[in-house]
Amino acid sequence: MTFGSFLIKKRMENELSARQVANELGISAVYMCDIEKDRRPAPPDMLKKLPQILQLSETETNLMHDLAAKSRNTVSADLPEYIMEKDIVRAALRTAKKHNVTDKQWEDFIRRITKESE
Amino acid sequence: MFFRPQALESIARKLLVEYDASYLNRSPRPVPIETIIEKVCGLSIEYKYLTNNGRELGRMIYDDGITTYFDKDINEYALMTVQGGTIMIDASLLDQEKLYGRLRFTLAHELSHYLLHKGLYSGTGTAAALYKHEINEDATEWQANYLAQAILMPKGQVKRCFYALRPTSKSKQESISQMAKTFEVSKQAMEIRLKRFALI
Repeated sequence: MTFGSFLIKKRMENELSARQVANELGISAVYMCDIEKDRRPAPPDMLKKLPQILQLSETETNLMHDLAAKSRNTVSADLPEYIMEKDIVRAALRTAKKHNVTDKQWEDFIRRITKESE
Repeated sequence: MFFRPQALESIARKLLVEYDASYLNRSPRPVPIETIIEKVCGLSIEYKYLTNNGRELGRMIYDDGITTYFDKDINEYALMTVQGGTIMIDASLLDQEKLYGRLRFTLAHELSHYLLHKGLYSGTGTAAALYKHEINEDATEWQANYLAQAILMPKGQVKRCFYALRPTSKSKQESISQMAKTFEVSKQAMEIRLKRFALI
């Protein structure tokens, strides 16, 4: 799934037109169509307002950030601050990269953290 | 192929029932034409400047291919790939609030072309276009205009609304203007529709 197709899907679930969403975002409908068709990347300030306009859940908001980041070839907008804030986070990510951590290992890790913080 | 007015009214009714029948029998409200186009008919809408002066308001694309648009940034015509089943709308219709009725009508008009004339155009690589000052309205244009009116201003709802307003309405113009607001269409379109049913 691309950012554009995600946008179209959620917008239609809410029965909103591209024109209406563009109005709420304060951008032109022409620009909005370009974003929806993945001809242009998603502008960062759009991502702040979208979760509320499209009534996104937390999971969907994360997906939105990831897809938007992919559309601009960068890291998801909700992450850089967290990653750069703590040396240990970067160290952890670099270790994981060096050792080619598998999805399974990541999943176990996520599960353990979730359990511990509950 | 010729569709009689009665047949076009039926097509409009069927389309609205498929979306939400309450648009035919609850208190009159604007038909959400964009949602119907996208959700019920599975078409997509694309806003672009189609020409350099807004003379072409809408364009129904039937087949995958390439189409022209006017690129305002470089002030020149450009080409873009476009998927079949796309309604292209001239972005000049978005510029002013007072063109909103016209924008909705253009959307309904292009949708009507798709519903009525898909078989006629598909595979030809030709698009059905709506021009601003159409003088010779041929049969296909007449049908698309009629169906567009029937979708945006359902027959029963127009009559109901007209009779509900009549006791308080001071003049013909006031009825037209109030009803145009209710259905979110231009006064001109509302007037044509009311004349069609000999209400004014």
